Amino acid sequence: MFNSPFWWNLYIFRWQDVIEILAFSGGVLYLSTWLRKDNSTPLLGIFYGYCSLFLAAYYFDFFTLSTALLTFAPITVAVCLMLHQATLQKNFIALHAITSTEDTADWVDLIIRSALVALGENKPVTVIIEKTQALDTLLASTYPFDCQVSEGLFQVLINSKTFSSDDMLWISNAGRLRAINSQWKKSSVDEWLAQEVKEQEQWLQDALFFTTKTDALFFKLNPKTRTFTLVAQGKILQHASAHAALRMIKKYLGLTAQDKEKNYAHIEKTTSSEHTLS
Amino acid sequence: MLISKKQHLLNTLSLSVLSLILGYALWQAMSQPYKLEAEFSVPLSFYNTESLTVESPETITIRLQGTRKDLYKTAVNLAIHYDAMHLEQGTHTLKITSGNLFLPESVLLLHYLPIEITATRT
Repeated sequence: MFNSPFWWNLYIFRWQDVIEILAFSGGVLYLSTWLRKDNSTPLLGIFYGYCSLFLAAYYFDFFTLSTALLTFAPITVAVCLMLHQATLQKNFIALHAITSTEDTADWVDLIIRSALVALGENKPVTVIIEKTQALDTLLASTYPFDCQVSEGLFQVLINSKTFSSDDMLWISNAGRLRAINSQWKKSSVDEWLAQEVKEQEQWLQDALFFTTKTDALFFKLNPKTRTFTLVAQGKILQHASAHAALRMIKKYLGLTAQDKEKNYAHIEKTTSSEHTLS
Repeated sequence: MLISKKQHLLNTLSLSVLSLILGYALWQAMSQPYKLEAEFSVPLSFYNTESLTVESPETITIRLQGTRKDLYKTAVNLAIHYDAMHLEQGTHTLKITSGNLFLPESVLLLHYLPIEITATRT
């Protein structure tokens, strides 16, 4: 008898085995990384759960179960695709990467300014801005648009009878108006989950809940304090001044800051934590 | 920013480790039923060598075929056992069989190197 190498204990006898293990691990890592990008459903957990169930069944000698799990893995995936078509569409199709074609961040200045103007007309504006993930399947709107935001456009929209200040202005990260009067598409599960943050107002509950699913940025102007409430990735930043909100939005969206923000006539208010959203 | 980068690194690292574990476990589970061929370097030992001197190679490379589980069970205690009593004085070519390796029925001896193993009894 002689000392056997430790890797024999792992049933690794040849260098080809190492290559095979690395190939398997690489495949699992690639799939895991892809699934992790989806924030709305625990696809990564489901994937690891299914694999763990198969492995547990295999190692504890549940032969029929392990064979069934292995055999029906592709069918399970196909059934999930059919049953959760809407979810998957949202996860893998609608949440496609958006690339900004705009070089400047002027439109953010314009939106902030317009929001303040609208507030002067007693119409508090709520805005949702897409970052890299499209919001097509999270938002419902009866008034879709596709045009670059402008001061005139905002004036027309805000003064329109159809404009609802309770709903959201949906804007892309390129500064294009996607829709007005947008509302969250809530499923019964979403409503139930959103109850976890019940101590907040309904609009804030929804914003906190839905921003965890995407990288969108939500903001609302408080009519009493004239300060902004920003929500992104389930984090909230309250009582932000226009200047701070502008800076935060640009920073979060990765837009280039312009000197124009200095021209704002606003009160510098202390923000609770400016770095919260970054 | 630093915290988020660190968190990202930790997430990536933990995901990589998890993937490696899961990848290995899946590979192990899926490769288990299949037979494979593997080479082992095993010591050549003689018994019944009282008052005899035998010169031969110390190790022989053998190629076995079997499932991983069977190969592992076999390989950890593997050695070629040869009865020196049958050797007469002089140089002989040894023939290795499964019996010399005490291989179970599920493991096959495919071939060994060197093909001609010479042992000299003095």
